[in-house]
Amino acid sequence: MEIKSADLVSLFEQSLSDAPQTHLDEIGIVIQVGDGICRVHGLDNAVYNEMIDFEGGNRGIVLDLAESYVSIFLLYNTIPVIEMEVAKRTGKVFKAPVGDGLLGRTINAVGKPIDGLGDIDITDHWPIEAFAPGVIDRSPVNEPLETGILAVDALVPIGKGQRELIIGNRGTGKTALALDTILNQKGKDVICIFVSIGQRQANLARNMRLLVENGALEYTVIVSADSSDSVLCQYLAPYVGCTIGEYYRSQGKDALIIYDDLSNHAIAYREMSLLLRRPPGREAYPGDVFYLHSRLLERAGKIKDGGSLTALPIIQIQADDITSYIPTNLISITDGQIFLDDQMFKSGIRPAVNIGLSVSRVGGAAQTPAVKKMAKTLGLELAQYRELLDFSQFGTELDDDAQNRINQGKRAIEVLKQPQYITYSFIQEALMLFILDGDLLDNVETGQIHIFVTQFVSYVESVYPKLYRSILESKDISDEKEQELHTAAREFGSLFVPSE
Amino acid sequence: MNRVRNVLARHYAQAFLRVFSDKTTVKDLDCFKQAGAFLKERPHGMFLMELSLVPEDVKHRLLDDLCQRFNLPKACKKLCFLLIKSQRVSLLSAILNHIVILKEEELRITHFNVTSSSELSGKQREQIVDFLDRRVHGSIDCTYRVDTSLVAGIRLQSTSLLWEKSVKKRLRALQESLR
Repeated sequence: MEIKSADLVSLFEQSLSDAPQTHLDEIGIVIQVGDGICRVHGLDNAVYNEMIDFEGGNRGIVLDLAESYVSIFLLYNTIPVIEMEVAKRTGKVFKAPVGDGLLGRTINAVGKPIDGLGDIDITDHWPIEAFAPGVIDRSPVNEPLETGILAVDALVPIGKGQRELIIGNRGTGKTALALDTILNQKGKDVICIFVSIGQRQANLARNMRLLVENGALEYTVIVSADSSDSVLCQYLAPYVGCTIGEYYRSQGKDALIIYDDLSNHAIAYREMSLLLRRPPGREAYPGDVFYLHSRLLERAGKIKDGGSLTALPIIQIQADDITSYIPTNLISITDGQIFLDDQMFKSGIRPAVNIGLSVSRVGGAAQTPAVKKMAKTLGLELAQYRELLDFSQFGTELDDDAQNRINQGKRAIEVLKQPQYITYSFIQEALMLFILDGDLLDNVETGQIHIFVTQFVSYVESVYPKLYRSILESKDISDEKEQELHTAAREFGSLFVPSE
Repeated sequence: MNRVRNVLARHYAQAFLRVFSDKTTVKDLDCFKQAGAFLKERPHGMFLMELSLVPEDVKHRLLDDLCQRFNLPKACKKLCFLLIKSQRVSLLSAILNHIVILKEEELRITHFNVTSSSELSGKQREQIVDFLDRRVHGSIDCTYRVDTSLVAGIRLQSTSLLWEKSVKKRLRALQESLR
């Protein structure tokens, strides 16, 4: 069928006269493009952070305003932008999709699903840059967020609304610790958001599979900007994840967000800043790299109206150096850090939490009373153990008291060892710490300690169900209950048969 | 490098208009446009003009001829001689373009490229000018062009404004939604 274009033109004539309210779009012309950034002449009224549409289908965000041009970072690497292409203002800022439909899904930084499970039911779109809740709107961190990791829950407890940095060398179990925390939230009504920044797709697939296998994906949202994505996507991903977390918090829910990892985020921002020709500072990072992370992490917190957003940013360091630029920034922004020690990891102590360098500044107030009571002296014991261990390496003969302390430290280290992807409930943790506190482990071989404590927990649960339930309900161990536990421990000690 | 040259050319154009703005008329702008387009097509010629091997009187004569051919105002001749002196005559094409843009901005003339899928009638052109008049402050200057790749429809584009209603645009939107 032949279409008479003249007739079609007349249709548009009609649309010209019928649409007096139609506005003209503000446009600019691409004058330079390369490295994921383009400079556009025109767009005189464009504002910082505004979304720009390119005629070829790409999109970008204005990140620099010069006198005669604007610099726009492109969202997609795969859609070409050419010189002289028309760029159009949208008058909107970048927004992230939010809604319950996101649960169990994996999206990229622009909010599109990448898990092959079809479209997502989106409730709304929220701007990714938002004000952090003010002092008046916040409530104190006083509710524990159980990680299920004994070393963390006992010594560096995390509260709902806290920001706790996970810091360590490459391959020391940072992501594993974060994933364990997600796995432990099953059935606890905590929504988890896992933001993967600049990681390999294979790593993401592995983490996804792990969450699926453990039934944790149903309460988790994964936001991914892998290493092949544009630097802009890597820069945006944490803010998108944070916005999703804020949505759940606004619904009165508790959310946990993991940023894996912010060193890649800082690197992406450095790349962007250098391409924008902003003056480089220390380690070539721009001057506002602190603000990059502070404005992100300040958005975490517990609010009065109910709901909380707990942030666990991950940062990778090199050669155990926590004094480099980005780690020190993040240490000062967050409410504490969990330092994963390379030496400990290599010597088989996993999770390799270095108690000396780890701290939780607000979590103590949120710790479960039972665990808090049982872990009262553990930190001190481990500190003494480390000190005496260093001393004993000189070959000095130690007195009985010092030797006992070293032995107790060794036992504590054994109890704190925990296999990957196996998490403990608070009662299991409290009972393990209880058994460590007494003298029952004195005659147990080091290799049998872990079996002993886990079997003791099962023993109490099955033989003393009333006591077990009572601790579970009250979340505390009173003096009477402690007496009962001593009786149970003595019984179990006489029954325990070491495995071969 | 191109950006630096562009900025430099804009500065020259701004300086020119600061001095000769009163003497530059709308009619002159057409001459500037034509001369600019002519020079843009002959970049090698402008490069040769910058060589010190070419005697200055030859360069002067050539630029005189150019001014005469395109009926450029006397002020433009002074600009050309200044460029020869500072060995930046290759910027002339860009400077002329910038003069046109800046003067049009000053006179609030918005130049629109009207692209349609088929030739527009006089009445249709009037409708378009009327449509633009209602939305753009200042006067409108339209250039009409036929582009069959629009399939059907019209596209009105200036340096900073765009209005398009065409099948091509709808197909682009469809392609984007399918991506």
